[in-house]
Amino acid sequence: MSILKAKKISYTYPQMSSVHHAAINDISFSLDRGETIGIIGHTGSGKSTLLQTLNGLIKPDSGTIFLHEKDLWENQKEIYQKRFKVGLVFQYPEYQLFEETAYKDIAYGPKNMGFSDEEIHSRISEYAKLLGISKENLNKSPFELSGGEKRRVALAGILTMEPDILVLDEPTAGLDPIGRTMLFKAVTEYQKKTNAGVIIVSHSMEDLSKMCDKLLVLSGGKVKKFGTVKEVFLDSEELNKLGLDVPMITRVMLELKSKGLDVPIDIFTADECAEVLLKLIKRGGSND
Amino acid sequence: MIKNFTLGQYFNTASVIHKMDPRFKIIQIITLIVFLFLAPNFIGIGILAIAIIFILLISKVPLKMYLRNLKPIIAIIILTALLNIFYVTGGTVLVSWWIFTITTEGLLKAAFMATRIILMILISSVLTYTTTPTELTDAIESLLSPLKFIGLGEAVHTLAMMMTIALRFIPTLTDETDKIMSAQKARGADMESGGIFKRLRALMPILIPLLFSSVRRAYELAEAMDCRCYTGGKGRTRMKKLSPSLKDFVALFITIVICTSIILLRIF
Amino acid sequence: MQNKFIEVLNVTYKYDEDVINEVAVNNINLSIEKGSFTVILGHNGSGKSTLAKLLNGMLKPNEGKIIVDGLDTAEGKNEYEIRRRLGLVFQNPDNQIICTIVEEDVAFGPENLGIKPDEIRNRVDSALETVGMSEFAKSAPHQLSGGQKQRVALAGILAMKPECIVLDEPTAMLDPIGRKEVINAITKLNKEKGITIILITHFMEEAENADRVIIMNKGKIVADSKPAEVFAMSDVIKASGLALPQTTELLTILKNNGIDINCGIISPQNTADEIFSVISRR
Repeated sequence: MSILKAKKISYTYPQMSSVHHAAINDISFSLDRGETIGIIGHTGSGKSTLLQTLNGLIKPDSGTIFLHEKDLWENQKEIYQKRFKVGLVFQYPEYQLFEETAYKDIAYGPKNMGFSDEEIHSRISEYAKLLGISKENLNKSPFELSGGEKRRVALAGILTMEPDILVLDEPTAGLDPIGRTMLFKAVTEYQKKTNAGVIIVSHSMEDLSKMCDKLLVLSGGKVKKFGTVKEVFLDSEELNKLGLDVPMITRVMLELKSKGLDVPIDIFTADECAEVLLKLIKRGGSND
Repeated sequence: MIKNFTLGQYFNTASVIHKMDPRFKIIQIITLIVFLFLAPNFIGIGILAIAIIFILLISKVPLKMYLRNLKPIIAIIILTALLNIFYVTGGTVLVSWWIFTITTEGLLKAAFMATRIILMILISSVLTYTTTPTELTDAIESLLSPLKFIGLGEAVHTLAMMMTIALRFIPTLTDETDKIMSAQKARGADMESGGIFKRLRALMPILIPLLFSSVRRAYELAEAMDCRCYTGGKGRTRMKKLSPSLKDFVALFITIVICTSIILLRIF
Repeated sequence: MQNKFIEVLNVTYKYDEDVINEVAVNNINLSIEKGSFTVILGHNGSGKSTLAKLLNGMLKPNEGKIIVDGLDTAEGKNEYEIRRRLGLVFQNPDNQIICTIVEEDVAFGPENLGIKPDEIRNRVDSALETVGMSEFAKSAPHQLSGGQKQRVALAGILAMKPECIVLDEPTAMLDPIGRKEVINAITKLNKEKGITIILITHFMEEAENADRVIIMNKGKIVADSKPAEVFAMSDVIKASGLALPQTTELLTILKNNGIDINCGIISPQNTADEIFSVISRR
């Protein structure tokens, strides 16, 4: 049973289009509980527009979005409540921090949802821990924190709302490797705990292959491909045509295959690949 | 909602008006506006109207675009016209009812005032349609440059620099405002309901991040300007020198002829 | 000594003098040769950005000194000359473009230097061409993509005819296409124009074509060698909070499993070649 489903949705901005205002056209996909979908596409492919239709910030011109099998826009007045079910983390979310303390900032969302102070407090403690935000930092002004810390505070602001679906727009942009690992770990843990559906937009095929069950390839506002990670990355030709890449490891395997070696090409991580190659090298050795 | 905001209305048709030296353009347009108010009668206004319509035509900007600029001030034009109709007395009485009296003189005066305002809007639109904000900034800097003789050179340069940076960052900040607004809405910000105080409070989550981001941008921009050896206006050269060409002087000549004729009309 | 463009001698820098453990740059020694391409890797807060600002004199060392092209950065009178010779490109492309039209922004630096209008025109045209942005000369910056904006910023520095360009994480905010465009432009400047390049980044992939790779951690230099040698130091890389590219990680695993393989490689193509040669050797 899907928790979020897009059926033939289209949207065009009323004003002239720029890179930031790309249209989307006839998009369909569905997300299950506990599932993670990665969205791949260039700047201007309509990714950001798509994400904003998912929680009702943008109303599609045509097509329907189903949240828990119900039309998101069934009752226009309820959109404000429904928006809480789909937690949207924008690119560079630290630029939205505004409160005096990190704690108060995280509390903004749950407060808007009408939770009691105790409930908010317990949620903040829980998610601050999950994201590795120290008690000391919670009482600091968000503007005093480092870039990576700010990012985590901003993410905590969404997680404390406990959305059923977590949507992340390039969550690791600008972060260094330590920050990236920490953020992905937090998302995975949140998902494990709440069984939420997750949608991630990213340019890193390596990260996506690690995090996702399915991939959605977007180009020119249209879905070019939607399938499991394996299905999508196996069609490296189609991706290349769109100017997109497969993970580095897959490129190594494709290269080896073209050299005449009998290697599988549905391999996306270094560990998997090493295993295959070790076997191959040892076998090659024993053949001598 | 904020996306509708576009800065300047530059409409490039590469006409001769577009190619004029912006300084000449500004001076002549201001002069024409001044003379619209100096013109004593319909003949004067008529001369200016012909000149202005001629300018509109050679600017190659669709007339529709000019008419669009009149829309917001229709109310003002009508109001001025009405005031003149009812308050000006003299000439033949056409209608008289209760305290209102409409005379031929009143009607003429109303038409005169309305034409004057319309022409003023049209000719100012020429400036905005045919001149880029950058050209305007450069022209203003150049026109104000004599102020350096009274020790205001650096102030003029700073003013021009500020205008340039403002123009450069308005689209960036507009985009950013939009993004912050969407992000806060995603966290349940409600900006559409409640009384005035509630709405003002609801603006804080947008204004504060915007303020912080602007300060950060300003700081980074200052660093970048430092790195490019910026030390103010002193010793600075410009790649583009504004230089008037023959067409600017021809235009100036025509303007002088028009203005002289209006002065003559006033005298005689 | 002739060919040393930058010399960093025992330099220490703290943002807050009183706090002992806030040393951003800790007793660093470094010299950069003319015409070289150096990549400095490090995670956020490793001191690499501080180093960039020290190099052009925006920050002055607390201890030690920095000589750029024979000029001491600590001396106020050298400030202007050093900035002309050593250009700095920052992370956020939006916040370093000053003017409303691309070509006018590129002209900004030369205008400040008081160069004659005709010469500025030539420099602007050639700088835009070098970074491949000629066709956007009359565009407004906000209509450009991130990679294009960053190339405009690069052209703006280039038009000042510096001998060295330091780039502080120029690709951190860009998508893969923009990143490639910028790295290609930088490489071209080094190879074709002989400009000394110091590229600061946390993407190891960008270091592959450098002459020299330096890793910074906690304000110190922890590795400094040719790219292949540095990439093979997986322990140092991980301890410095950097991520091994998948390919290098793969090669490292193979090596740890007793296979005689060179693991200082990043590009998938070269990785495949190396693996293939190992397999064919058997």
